[in-house]
Amino acid sequence: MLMAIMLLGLLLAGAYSGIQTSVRAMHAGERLIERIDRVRTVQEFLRHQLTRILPIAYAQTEAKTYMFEGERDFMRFVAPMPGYLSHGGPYVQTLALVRGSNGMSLVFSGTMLNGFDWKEEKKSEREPVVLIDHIGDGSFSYRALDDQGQLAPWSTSWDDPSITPLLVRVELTMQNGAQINWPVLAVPLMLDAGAAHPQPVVIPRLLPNNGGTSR
Amino acid sequence: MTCFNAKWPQRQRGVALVLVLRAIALMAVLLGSFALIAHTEQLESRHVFDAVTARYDAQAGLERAVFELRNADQAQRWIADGRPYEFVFDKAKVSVEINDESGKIDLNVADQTMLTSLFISVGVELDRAAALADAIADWRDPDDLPLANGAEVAEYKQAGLAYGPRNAPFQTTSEVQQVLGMDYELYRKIEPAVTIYSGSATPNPAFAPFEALRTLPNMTDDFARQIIELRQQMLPGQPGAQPLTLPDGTPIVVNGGGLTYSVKCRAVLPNGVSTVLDASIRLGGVGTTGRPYTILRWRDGEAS
Repeated sequence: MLMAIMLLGLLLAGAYSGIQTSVRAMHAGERLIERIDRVRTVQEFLRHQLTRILPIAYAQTEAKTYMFEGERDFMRFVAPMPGYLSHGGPYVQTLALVRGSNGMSLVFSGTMLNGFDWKEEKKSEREPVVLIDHIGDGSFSYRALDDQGQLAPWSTSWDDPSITPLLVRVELTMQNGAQINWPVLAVPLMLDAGAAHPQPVVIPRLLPNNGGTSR
Repeated sequence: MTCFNAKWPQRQRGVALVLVLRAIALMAVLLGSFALIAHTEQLESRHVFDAVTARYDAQAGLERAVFELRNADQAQRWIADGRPYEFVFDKAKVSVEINDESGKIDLNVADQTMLTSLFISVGVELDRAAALADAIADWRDPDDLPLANGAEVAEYKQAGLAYGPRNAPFQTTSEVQQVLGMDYELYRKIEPAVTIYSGSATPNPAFAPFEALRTLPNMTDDFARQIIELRQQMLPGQPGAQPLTLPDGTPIVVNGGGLTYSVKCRAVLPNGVSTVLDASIRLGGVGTTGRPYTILRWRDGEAS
């Protein structure tokens, strides 16, 4: 009798642990799928934004026009936002790799170009969005044609903010525990210089000693 | 207690089997649902792969359109009046529609009358249409004085918006959504009819898409459809059987087209996955990227 109860107990324990294991495996699988899904969505979003980078200036100083800023961990450009997320028109957008408690994060923010003030860093309509975190290390790099018209090598800094690069690359290495890889994302910028409507006025409010009369 | 009943072992003999069966059933349900999730994931991956293929097939349509628009053989040259062209590229069916931008309404040039009739043509009532037209004029003019129904900074502030009019020409067509009174739904309706690249005050009826054609004076939807149908039957270099005219009798002359085109390419893979590329290009010259054309507007993979 005792034997039967012991066997039954063993059986129950076995069945329970079996179910537990399968539930755990399932959750782990689901998490992995979720992460793959997230990487895919983020890559698609970045591709969407980066291909549409507009050759429109967002700031002007006496020395320089700013159309595209690119560093190893920071990028600022002008592009349209998806229609349902905005008021339409060009938005000044930034992508940054920020170090936080969950490793590095890829953070996106967008502010309407109309009324954008570089110095004030006007608060964007939405809070910056963390696109993906648990990044171990990462970098942005840029590529353009050299003087001879040949494709120059990738560089992690973009020197001339008054022109846009031909290609932008986002390389991320995920943290060890993240169980997922980030496929290298290299995106061609489709819009050529000249895509912007020729502007008779050059954002005079951003010039020094100007009271902001261009509105 | 009943469990010490001598008959108990006989009565409960199958309990282990039942338990095992239940455990197996439970695990089967769990694993089955997981398999379903994994399968959905696989389908999604497959779809992304197909969508990328379709996207590049659609891009091939754009390249082909550039080639055909400059075809040395006049009789073979593609006409930019929105007529459909189809070809097969790498097993995908690619259909291309090209519209000369001169057939659209230029948001930076069109006067309020033209803009009002544009809004009326998509079902906006007269008062709102007039207000929108004035607001657009106020958006692009450099002054801060509102027109009769228009809007300058004060009106935007009153409406609770954090921005005012740019007081400069539109930089992209989608910017018109920022104009006071506009919304995404309305923008979607007028989008096929508007441009910022033609520079002419009225759309050229020889190339105008339906949405722009029906904004012309005295035009009805049926008449506009008829014009498009007859226009598309005309072959390059040959006048049609009967000359086309507008409702007021003005003949439609196929000339004056610019070098700026909007090209809409749809690629459909054999398995039914499709994507649309909607781009505006300007022919002529070689850009910094080495292409023999300049891309002015680029929308791919969006529902349109």
